[in-house]
Amino acid sequence: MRIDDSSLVRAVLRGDPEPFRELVERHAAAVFRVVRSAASQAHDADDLAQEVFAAAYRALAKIKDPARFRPYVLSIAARKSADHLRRRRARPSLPLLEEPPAPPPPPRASLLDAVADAVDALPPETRLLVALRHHEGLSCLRIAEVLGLTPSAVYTRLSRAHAALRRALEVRGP
Amino acid sequence: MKCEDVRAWLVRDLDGFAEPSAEAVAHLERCPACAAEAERLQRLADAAREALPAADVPSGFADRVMASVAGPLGDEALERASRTRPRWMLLALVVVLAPVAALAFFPRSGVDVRGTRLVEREGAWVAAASGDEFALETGWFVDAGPVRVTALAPSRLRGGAALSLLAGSVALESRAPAVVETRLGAIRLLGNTRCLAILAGEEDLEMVGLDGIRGSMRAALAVAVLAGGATVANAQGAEPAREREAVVARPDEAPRLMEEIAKRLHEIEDRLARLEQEGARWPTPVATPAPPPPPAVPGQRAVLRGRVVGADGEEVGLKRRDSGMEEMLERARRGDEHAREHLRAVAEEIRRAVNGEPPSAPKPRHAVTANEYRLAMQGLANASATGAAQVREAALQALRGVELSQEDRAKFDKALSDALAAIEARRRELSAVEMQRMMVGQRLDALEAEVAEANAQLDAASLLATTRPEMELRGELTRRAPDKLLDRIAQLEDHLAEAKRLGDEGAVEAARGALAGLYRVRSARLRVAELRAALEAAERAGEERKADEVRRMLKLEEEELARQEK
Repeated sequence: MRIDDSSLVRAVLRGDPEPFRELVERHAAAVFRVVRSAASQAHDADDLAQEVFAAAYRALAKIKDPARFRPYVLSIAARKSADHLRRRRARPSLPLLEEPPAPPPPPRASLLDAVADAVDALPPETRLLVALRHHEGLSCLRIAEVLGLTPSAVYTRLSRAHAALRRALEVRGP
Repeated sequence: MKCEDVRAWLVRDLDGFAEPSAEAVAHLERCPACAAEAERLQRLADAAREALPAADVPSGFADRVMASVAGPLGDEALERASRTRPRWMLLALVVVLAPVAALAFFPRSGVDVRGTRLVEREGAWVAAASGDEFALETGWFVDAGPVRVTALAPSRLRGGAALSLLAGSVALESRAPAVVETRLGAIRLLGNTRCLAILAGEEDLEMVGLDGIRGSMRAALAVAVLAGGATVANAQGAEPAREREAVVARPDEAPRLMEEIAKRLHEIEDRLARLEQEGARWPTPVATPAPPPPPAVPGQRAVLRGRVVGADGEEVGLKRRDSGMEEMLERARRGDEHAREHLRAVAEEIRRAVNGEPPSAPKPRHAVTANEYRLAMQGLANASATGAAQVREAALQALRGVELSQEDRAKFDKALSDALAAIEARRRELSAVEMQRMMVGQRLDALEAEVAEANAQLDAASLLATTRPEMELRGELTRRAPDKLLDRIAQLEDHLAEAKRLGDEGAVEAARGALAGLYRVRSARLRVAELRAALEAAERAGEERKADEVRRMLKLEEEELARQEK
């Protein structure tokens, strides 16, 4: 029988860290989807995701509704990803720990080629918004709240991203 | 709800900005054109989701997370743990190293960092290390010997942190007074803060910071950590008052901590006495246990323990392996002279700290080991990016009390000299890089302003033409309109703007009234055009029922259009 998130969170808060593993396994994919949209390198995404869960663990006592662990950890993921992007912009990375060039991506379905290219061309900040909107289903207002942006800023960026994607779809057709 | 409203709602929904609307949903059920648009936008969202970067969870990820968060959570758990682990850990936690409080330690893996490479890590000034590997973001690093630093807390310290490891010693310095400001719990670091930790190098140590430290630290402050114990020493040049500020615990905690430390000290000394009795091979008698410490006076130097709370209130961990001291005790039990001497020195330092006495004069610690010496030399050889004077102090402090042969001393002096030269070169290089970064930052700001302006223009444009079908319809209307409706609208809008500019309220009202009528006509034409397109599509598809429904709606809309045009 699957134990719900709420019970796992409460068990952790009672002092047993082990149930946190189950929470990590349940929500790691969602967290990785968010951080991966912000981190250009796989190892950065790994580090970021680990930071996200470590922070979630340390601040677990602050969670208001244990049943809402997923939005809680995704909020942290979004904030960490945004911080990551800000820092990266502030400090261009030195070429001393570069990963080897990533292998070319596998061929994508023809229908998605144009959209995939359009997504790749988006700035990382905008890609993060698209991930939060379409992968995690967060509303514009919620995204703005999580990232500390104004709703209009989020709306503007998303609109622009969608316009680019619409153009890509129209070029490729249904 | 009209088609254009529904389509605008669909776009807002795609952007995550729409309120739920039963009216819009009902419209979509009966309007094939809008339903097709909704389907198209849904396809767009699906495609966006598919096109985002893949995010496979690496194997072992959960294990790594669990390793990083090992230990129970919360104050109660911490308290419980502290009650059930009455070992040296309680004393060894006593590290008063405020700048290092910015560090949080939890194991990470998968980071390939070698000792002598400068590594940029985002958001933190120390990123990762394991064993003798260590990395910094803005500073520099060298082989660390016994120090094991595994991660950093998210950065609140902006810029200018540098940390060096010199064969078991740690020095941290903040170099940029204008921008360095760290708030961790009650700690606030100001510019020119320097901190130096010297580790005895006997065991693994996870360095932690503390909350509960009040005040500011200026000038040089040295912290010596001696294999399980920790003392705070006033480095040359520190003003006593400031030192006092820097090292004293929270006033409400200090007496309790002092009492606990004294209790542990007695336990340790008792244990040493028992060891002596068992081994009966101590070269000299163990010192008489110290008398109970005097009442703690807030403001005096103290030895602290605590836990780290980040600026955002998250606990960042406080761990100290206690196996080292146990091992030391075991070695002493087996007759290891060095371990015995070491334990006595630790006990003496702690006794002095508890009693508020100044630290003992440096004594010859032990002959430097080959490995230690190698690490020291390598550390100096790799020094860079921080103040030369501090490195010199760090190096001298690290070697204080260590017996070096004349030949080794000469080599060390030469290595120190080389390191200082490297530091100066590195500093010049970093200054140039910082200047370039600043210029790039300014350019980025300008570009962002341009992008913001372009976005605003895009928004304005999207108000008129949100979707391509609508644009096509507008084009078709323009072609078909015998009275050039859209041109008249544009003319009237110009008139309205001009009337507003001139402040002619009568003209403004007139233009608005005329425009309202034309807008209604335009909307009616749009609806008619949409319905005609939908009718054609239904007829082509042979959907008679839908075509009949659209015909009825079209008739109503055409009547409405005729009224409006009339």
